Amino acid sequence: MHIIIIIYQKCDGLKQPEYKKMCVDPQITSFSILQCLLIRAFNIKSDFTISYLATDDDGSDVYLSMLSDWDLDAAIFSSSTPYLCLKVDLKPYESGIDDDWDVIKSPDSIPPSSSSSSLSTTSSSSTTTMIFTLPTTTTVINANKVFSKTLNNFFEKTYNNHLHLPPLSSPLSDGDFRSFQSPVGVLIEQNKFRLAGVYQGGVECSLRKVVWRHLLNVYPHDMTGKERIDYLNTKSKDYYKLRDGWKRKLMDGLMSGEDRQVICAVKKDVLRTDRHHPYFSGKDDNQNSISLLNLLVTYALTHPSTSYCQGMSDLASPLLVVQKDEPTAYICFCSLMDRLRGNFAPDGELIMGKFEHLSLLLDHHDWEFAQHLRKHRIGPDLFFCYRWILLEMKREFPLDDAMLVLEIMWSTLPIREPHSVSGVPLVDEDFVVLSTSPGSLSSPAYRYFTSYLNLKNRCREERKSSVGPATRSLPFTAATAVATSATTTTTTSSNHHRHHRNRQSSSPPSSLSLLKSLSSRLSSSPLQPTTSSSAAITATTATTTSAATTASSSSNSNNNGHLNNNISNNNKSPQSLSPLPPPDEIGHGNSFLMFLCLSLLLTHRDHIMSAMLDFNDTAIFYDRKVRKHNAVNVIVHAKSLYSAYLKNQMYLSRSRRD
Amino acid sequence: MSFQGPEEYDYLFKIVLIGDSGVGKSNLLSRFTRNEFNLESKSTIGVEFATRSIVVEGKKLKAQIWDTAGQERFRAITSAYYRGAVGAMLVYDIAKHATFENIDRWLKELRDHADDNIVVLLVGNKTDLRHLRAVMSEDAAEYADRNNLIFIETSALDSTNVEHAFQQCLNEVYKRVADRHFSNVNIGQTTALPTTNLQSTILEKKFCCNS
Repeated sequence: MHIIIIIYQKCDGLKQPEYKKMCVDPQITSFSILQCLLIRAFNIKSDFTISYLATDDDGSDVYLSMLSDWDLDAAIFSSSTPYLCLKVDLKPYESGIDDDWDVIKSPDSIPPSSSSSSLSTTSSSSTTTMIFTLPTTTTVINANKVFSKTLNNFFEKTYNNHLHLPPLSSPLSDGDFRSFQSPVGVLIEQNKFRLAGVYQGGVECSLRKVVWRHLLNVYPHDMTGKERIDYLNTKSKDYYKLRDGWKRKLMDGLMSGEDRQVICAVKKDVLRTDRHHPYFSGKDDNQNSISLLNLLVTYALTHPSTSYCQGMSDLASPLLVVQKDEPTAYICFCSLMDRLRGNFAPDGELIMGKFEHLSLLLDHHDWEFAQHLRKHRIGPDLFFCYRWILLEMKREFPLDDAMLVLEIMWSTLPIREPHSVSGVPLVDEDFVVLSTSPGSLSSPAYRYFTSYLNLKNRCREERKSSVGPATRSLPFTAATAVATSATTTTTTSSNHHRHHRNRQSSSPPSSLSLLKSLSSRLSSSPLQPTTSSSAAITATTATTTSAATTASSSSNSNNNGHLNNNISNNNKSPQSLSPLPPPDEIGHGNSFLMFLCLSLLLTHRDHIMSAMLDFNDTAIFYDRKVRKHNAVNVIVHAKSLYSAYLKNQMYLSRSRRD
Repeated sequence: MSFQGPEEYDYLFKIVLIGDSGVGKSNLLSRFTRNEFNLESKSTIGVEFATRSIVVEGKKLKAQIWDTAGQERFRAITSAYYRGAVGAMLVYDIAKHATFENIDRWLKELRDHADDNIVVLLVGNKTDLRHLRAVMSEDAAEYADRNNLIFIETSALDSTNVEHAFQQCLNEVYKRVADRHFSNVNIGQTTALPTTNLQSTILEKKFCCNS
């Protein structure tokens, strides 16, 4: 375990600099945790910036600003002395003068006169590398205020322009995918495939068709390539039987009025689902839209307890676009809905639970912003996110981008193997009761029913406790899977592999050590969006991280003072927030979605705050951004938030054990 | 990035749009608030919002219009949807008789969840589809009469009557507010935070978001 000694120098312009030493474990210290430690160590109550001592190309010492985990890693690796030297600059309280400077909106123009007179810039004033030095007089402080404000603008701009974000890895290629399979095509590296593969950068378009079936848990495990083909063929035949069943009834005039209404409802939505996309363009009765209709009606009529609900057409559409085959898309859809049907339940319990988690997550990450929304609340909490959660973000991005978001999100989800050899059930248990001619199905279909009962019961339990046995430890598994890939701990036998997975799930300690060893990789992530938001998350992690460090700190317990300044009109305080649910509970079955939502909220946070948009305007703002968000940006940011959260959860579980 | 402050207004009225899916609720909303019509509109999921302000008798009324999915399944948020609404546009499609038949059901839902004094407009949309008309104006007018609703026919596509419909709704709401039809309404009160009940949603005189 590496121990790096750090010297801090506190610079607030007027007082003497203050020095402190600290030991931290670089493996488990993220940028936000570091910020938190500094807040505690120096009892900081305002915004501040961190810079680290590095050596430039000419061999001279320079202070480079540290804004993210990325920079922290760079600082640790590049530190030339036995110590990592950090410098903390407090940002003076902003008022007055800033308003004048708001006039200069263009962040592209950093005023050279003010910067040269008041700030010594060591490098050749490259706009992306800033070196702060000590401001010594009041005027300098003012100028510094202006300068940092301008820099903030600049960063906001660069953040929005995606100049600063490390891009996603290249998408999973055919060669990568094959490396997770045995010679006969058995996918033996499920975790690695998902987290070291898909999670890192999505999937090549041409490969989606095949990969999505795995991601959506369509196949029973350990199937060879040939077995998968047979499996899909059998399933497809079953699908056609189900479809032709209701079509015949419709033609013969034997369909109930209720069922015909379902068809009408589906039709209304199919006619307005992704019609701008080339796949569904053209006439209303284009073959692909008809396929979508068939698929949805078949599902609705064979799943009477779920039936059809608006939003399902959005969920099915990308499956059809990718599979380009109605029966296969149907099988994928059944598997997807097996996870999502609870969202469409009339009681709304599950989806409300997700809202609660998102709201809590926002409180933890950005108390100020959460308070802003709460203060200007006219509608119910975060209801403008309803569509985000129900459609799992599908509609917030252009369809092709949404596919990237979906596959990356799916890669973090529980691996849910169909419970029987016959695989994904194509009909609901209720359908057996209601169907007049169950004998028309092939024999495997009967076997689905028993297996489905198990699944259904599992789902019910899951909805009660939000933790089903099968999904129980997935996010940890997810984290460990990445760790597995990094430490090249691989397993070759699929049985062994499965055992290995279960063992990981049930024994956090091993996953802890794995995750720890990977912390630097996990955190090679982009900028936190704003200092205030990262400060907010830091504040919440303060209590947990102190155990992992030996800070010679003179700070008292009031380390959240600067946050309290922003709080009004609410009884809650950041300290009294209930803790975030653990990874296997947060998001009620889809933890990563919560972080995608959070990322989308934080992306426009500064605009919403500075334009003082109220809740309603915020909702309108997001409604108008439908299909216009930048997917890569949102994903990259969500991943960094997610990894920070997972890390924090690791500390928590570790400190609980200790 | 704009730094202008929040818009000021005398009254904030919450109006809800209801009716079967596909009758054109979202397009009525976009036509009124943004003068836009989208032939390739998507089904509404959950709730969408928009606002527009108009002036009535020298008072600035800000209409906050809630548009929701036509399908019943999103009823998890039903009560929140109707809470505080002072006006409702009950929309059907003049070319689809079934959507008119369902008006009864929507009216019942309104009676169950909304304030008793809520202003209700019966809106027959899509008058541009003359050749496909399936609901006669007379029948709808008679229905409206019987149920104490204001009746109007509109076309979000060619803009016919859209402005008029919303104006009429807001006028009527204003009238009822002025006559204190809405119980517990405090006219002119400076309420900082609109919360969940009717009175605070109706009136925030010169309400300012950053105050």
